Amino acid sequence: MLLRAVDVRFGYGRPGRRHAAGGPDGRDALVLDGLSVEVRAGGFVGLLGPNGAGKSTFLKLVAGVLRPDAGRVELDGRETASIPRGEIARRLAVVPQETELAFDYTVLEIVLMGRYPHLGAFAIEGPDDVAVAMDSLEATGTAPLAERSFRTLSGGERQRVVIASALAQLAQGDGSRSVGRDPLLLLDEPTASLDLRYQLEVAALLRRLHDTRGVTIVVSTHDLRFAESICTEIVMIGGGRVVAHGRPDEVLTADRVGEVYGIPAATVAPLLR
Amino acid sequence: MSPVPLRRGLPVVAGCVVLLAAAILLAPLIGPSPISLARAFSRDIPFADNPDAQIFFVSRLPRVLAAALVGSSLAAAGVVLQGLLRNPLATPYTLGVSAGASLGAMVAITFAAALPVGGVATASLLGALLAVLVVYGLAGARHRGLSTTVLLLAGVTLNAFFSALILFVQYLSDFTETFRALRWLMGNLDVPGYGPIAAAAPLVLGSFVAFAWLARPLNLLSLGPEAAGSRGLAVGRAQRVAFFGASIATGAAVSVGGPIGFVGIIVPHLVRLVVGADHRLVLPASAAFGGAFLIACDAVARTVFAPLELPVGVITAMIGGPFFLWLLLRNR
Repeated sequence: MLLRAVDVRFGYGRPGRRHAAGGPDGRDALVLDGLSVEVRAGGFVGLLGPNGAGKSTFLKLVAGVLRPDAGRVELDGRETASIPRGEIARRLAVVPQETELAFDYTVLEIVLMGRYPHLGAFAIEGPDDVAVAMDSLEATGTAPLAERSFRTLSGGERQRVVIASALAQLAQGDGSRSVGRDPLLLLDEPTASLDLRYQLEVAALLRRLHDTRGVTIVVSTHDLRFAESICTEIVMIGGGRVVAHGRPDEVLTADRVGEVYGIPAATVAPLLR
Repeated sequence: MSPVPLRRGLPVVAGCVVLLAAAILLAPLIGPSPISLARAFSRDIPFADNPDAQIFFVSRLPRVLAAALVGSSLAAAGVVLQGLLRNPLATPYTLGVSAGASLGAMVAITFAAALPVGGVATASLLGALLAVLVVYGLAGARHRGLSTTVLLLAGVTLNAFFSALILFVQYLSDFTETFRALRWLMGNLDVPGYGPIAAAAPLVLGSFVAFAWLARPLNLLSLGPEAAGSRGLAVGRAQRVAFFGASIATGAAVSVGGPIGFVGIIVPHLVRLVVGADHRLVLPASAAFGGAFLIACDAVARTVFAPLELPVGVITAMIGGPFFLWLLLRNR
């Protein structure tokens, strides 16, 4: 199994005072309360659930940015806590909802930052790394932007460049097109701040990466249509646990969506295919 | 095949290093009595009979080296703190280091009349250390990593609080002490020989070694701590190295020259205009150019109203203000 979470618990704030609702001041929130899920290599998994259900937290736990309070997260059957962070970073990459830069980097520089886990502490990117970066830019249709300042790009262009950076991170160092074995791409609401055209572009790009490069994708989203149309499986999270896991047509029923999001099923029905 | 982007900036870094070397060699020639570089370095004349060499090495070079050390440290510390806080408007003084150093110096000047040589510098270093520990204690207390928001708030608050204490100490002191304190606060590179430079140099060198490791982590931190972590960076460690490295470099610089303003923000901005954002270029270029820049400012401070000497901090501030107005208009 590529990715497995077993009975994962995680909360923010003071451990002794956690409440599901965040406690009196909303700070001591228990976010994940025994979440278990498995993702096999080659999957295209949509992560759905209300705001605060723990989708982003789960992705951070998988990426090793956060550590679970209890339970464990495994990559290829090894607990992530025991894998060096560089090794994790070569296997899985994360695309956040938005990327704001403090300084004026070029697109190529951003993509080359994906090579960080492949290089020694004082090493400089070589021609192979630049070749990987250019290939990643080609794959996301952003090669013409290579010399542009990242900050001058539109939201959709930015998101594709960040995906290119993630691809460069997952690629092997020999300059070939091949990504590493079973690369895993985690995306946190990648289309939430994009207009319709860019949403469709990013969705098409993700499907292409999944189909042609064998990238396993886990994507959190609030967009039911997006999830229905491109995901092969849906994991529905509610109350810090997995409520349902299966094919989109199995999981995304009006009754279940209505129940998890707390809205009448009749209101949900028109939103589903 | 595209070239590696980093390599295009290397000539600029080399140029800045050459500029710094030239400034160190040529700035000692400027002064009331003209001297010749050839005579100063001549091996045919014994040192005791060579006034050019004496003026060069004894009277002027220490001050030029102090300017190089202070300028390099402040510019590099500025780059590192801007990267750590993800804010191009941060300065080496944003986190309260200079306020702590100033308070230490004020206390020494006011309450310890018979100080040994270097007493004020040592007191300012201790003050800087106090400020660093307070800010670090606040920002690291309740978080898994360093919270840059809390760092910034703690630094700004500490700056204000220490400034109040400095005013209080000034109020308690007499006229001579107040004058000495004021001169110190304006920033001045008139060092008594090589002693202060030798004392500060190990601290600066140590922090520069840390900066060499930090250049790439600072690039990743520009994406935000979580994105940096998901690329394999040990974010907490990088933040701590950045915070302590920049603080030590700043504390050492302030103990030599007082809180000289604007170097730590003008120089990184100028360098970024030329080499872009990559910290592996910005850091070394800023360190070299910062040294050359402060040497030039000090040369102006020594000569423009000669024989009267201006505090170099007045010169950097007079360049810094208009520079920022220009930056504002340029980016509009």
